[in-house]
Amino acid sequence: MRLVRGCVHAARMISTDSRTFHGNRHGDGDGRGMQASLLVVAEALFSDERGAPPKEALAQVTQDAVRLLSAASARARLLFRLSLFAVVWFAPLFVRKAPGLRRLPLSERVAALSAMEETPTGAALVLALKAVLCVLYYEQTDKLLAIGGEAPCVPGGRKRFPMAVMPPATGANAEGGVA
Amino acid sequence: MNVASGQSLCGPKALFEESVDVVVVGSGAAGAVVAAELAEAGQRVVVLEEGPNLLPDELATMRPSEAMRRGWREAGMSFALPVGDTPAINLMVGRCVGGSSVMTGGVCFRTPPHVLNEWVKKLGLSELSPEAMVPFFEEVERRCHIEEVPEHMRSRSTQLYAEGAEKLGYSLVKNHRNTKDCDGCSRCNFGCPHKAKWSVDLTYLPRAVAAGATVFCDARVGQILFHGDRACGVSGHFLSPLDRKSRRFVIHARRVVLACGGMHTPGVLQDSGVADRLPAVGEGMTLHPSMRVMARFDQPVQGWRGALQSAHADAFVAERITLMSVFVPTGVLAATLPGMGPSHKRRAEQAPHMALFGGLIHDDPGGRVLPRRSLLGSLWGRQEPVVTYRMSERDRKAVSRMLRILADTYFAAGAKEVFLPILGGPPGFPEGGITADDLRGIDLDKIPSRQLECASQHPLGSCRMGLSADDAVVDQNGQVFGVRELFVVDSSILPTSLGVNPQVTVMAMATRLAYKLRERALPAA
Repeated sequence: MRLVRGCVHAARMISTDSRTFHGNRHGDGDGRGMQASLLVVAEALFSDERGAPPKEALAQVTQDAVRLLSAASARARLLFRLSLFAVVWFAPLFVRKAPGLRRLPLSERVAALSAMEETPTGAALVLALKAVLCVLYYEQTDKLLAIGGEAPCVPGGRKRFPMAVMPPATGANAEGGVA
Repeated sequence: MNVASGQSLCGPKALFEESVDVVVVGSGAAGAVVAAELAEAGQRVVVLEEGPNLLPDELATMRPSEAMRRGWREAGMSFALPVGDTPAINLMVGRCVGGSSVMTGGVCFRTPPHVLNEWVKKLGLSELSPEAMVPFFEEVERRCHIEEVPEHMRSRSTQLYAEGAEKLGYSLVKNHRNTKDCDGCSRCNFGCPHKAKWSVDLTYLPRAVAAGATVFCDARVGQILFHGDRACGVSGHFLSPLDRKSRRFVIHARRVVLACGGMHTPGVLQDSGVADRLPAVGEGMTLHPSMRVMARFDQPVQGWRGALQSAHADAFVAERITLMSVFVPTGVLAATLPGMGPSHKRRAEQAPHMALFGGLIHDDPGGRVLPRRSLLGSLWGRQEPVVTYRMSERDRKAVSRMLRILADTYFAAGAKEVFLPILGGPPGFPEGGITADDLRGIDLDKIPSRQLECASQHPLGSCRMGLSADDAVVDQNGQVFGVRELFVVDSSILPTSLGVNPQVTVMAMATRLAYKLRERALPAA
């Protein structure tokens, strides 16, 4: 019974997203089904020992993800939605839990996604979501700085050179040219 | 540069019509060259670009994801569908005024002489000898300020790779790029924020406009128009993505030049019925499948500091492998490292210690652009073409060889751990990272290619040049076999893959064809 309810919910999720993208290409309105599902994955992906990041911090990421997808074709959006559907519903099977990632506590969600990522097919599906979420999450300067990154350069900003210390000269690169 | 906005022309229901001498479809590296040369020769030229006009100042304010969304086709989410044991290949091409030249790392190679010699000797393309192409290379290099990347602009990631290469007995060669005053902020793939990359929106297109050409952005061409066996214009729609409005246009022209790139030129020919009598349309596409290997070092690397692509290795060209320095945004780096939750965070915090080097394969022609009228095309390719790709056996072997060279080189440079682009990790190493000892125990040849992460920025050869309509689409003048006044000038005409970044080849070929078109009398209107 629980499985049936889950399937109905999943079908709603896909159809809601479909309406969103066809009705509003920028996802400003109700891409909520997709955002909610992305949030479930994002909470697990970016969590640490203290728990998931605040929902507000992730809300911007999921909104941006919907906007990013709005620039893709219906085909690419469908593939992304199917990947999201597969991850959200089937990842728990990899840790012997019933389908439906959002029902699992955070630690089990992390375990389920990790287990899925360790299989070739699962990794392809997880990577599709992870790529979009990570690109957007680490565009937030505070998140980027927190992992040792640097804010992107802007016109008039500081120059990047001179950079790292050069290795000892070997002369090997003295010659060069267009192939 | 003044660009006419197709968006602003949407609204009225009336057909938009214009008559010119030459209509150029596509404003990228090839279209811009032809438009500039023909406009300066006094011909009335219209350039139609499907994507938006992204000004450099505007690009400078965009986050990478915004640049992806607005400037890359399908926001960077296009794929070649794998056939057989082949990786799904992410196709990344530009879709804006200036095309992919706005979004490349700016790496510039002349066509390797052995490739040109193959075209001359095996394919009979006598006009493309290395000697004959020199003036066109020189012209492009002069116009685009192609310069050597100095060694001090190398990122630490590339320096470490160079150290490893030296220990293994080969060396890196300085890249050439179309840049001036680059300060190495490593975001070339999202549009240069400093106008340091001399992409065609800063070089050739302003020349074309200054000479009287009109460039329309947000203008998607659907079909070529014919009068008998002569092309006489194009039709399509101006697009306004924000409010989803459109307006049909017809551009009447005495000559039609296609420059929509390797993915879309075949589509336009197929949709226009030209492919019915030319079986090579959409066939034999090459992609330069490319991959990267990441390596973790004890010392900080901060690989984002430096020129994005500063050096390459040509020591393995005989094995059809070109190795190339590259880096990716920190978010992409974090995404491709395995791990979730706390484990992802630990990995992501290692980003400043990660080095990265890539490579591409001089591949066999395994790609196809399916006609929209085919079953798969009609179901799956209404908006964007369906591209399929089958990797050849020798390309698979070249890929595993390339991955081993990249990993061995970083280990020689002192890497503690290497991450190969294998989905789910190498066999027995689901967490991804492997040591030098681990690598020795892995037979990369046995890893199915479909498990590899792979990308391509170079769709080529889908309307190749040749001597006969039986196995080619255009002749040595770029003219489509059997159709008068219809020319193709873009990357789709390259007869084989190159093994190096194609920008200069594409521009030099376009220059050569533009000179021919300049001399060729226009037909009566």
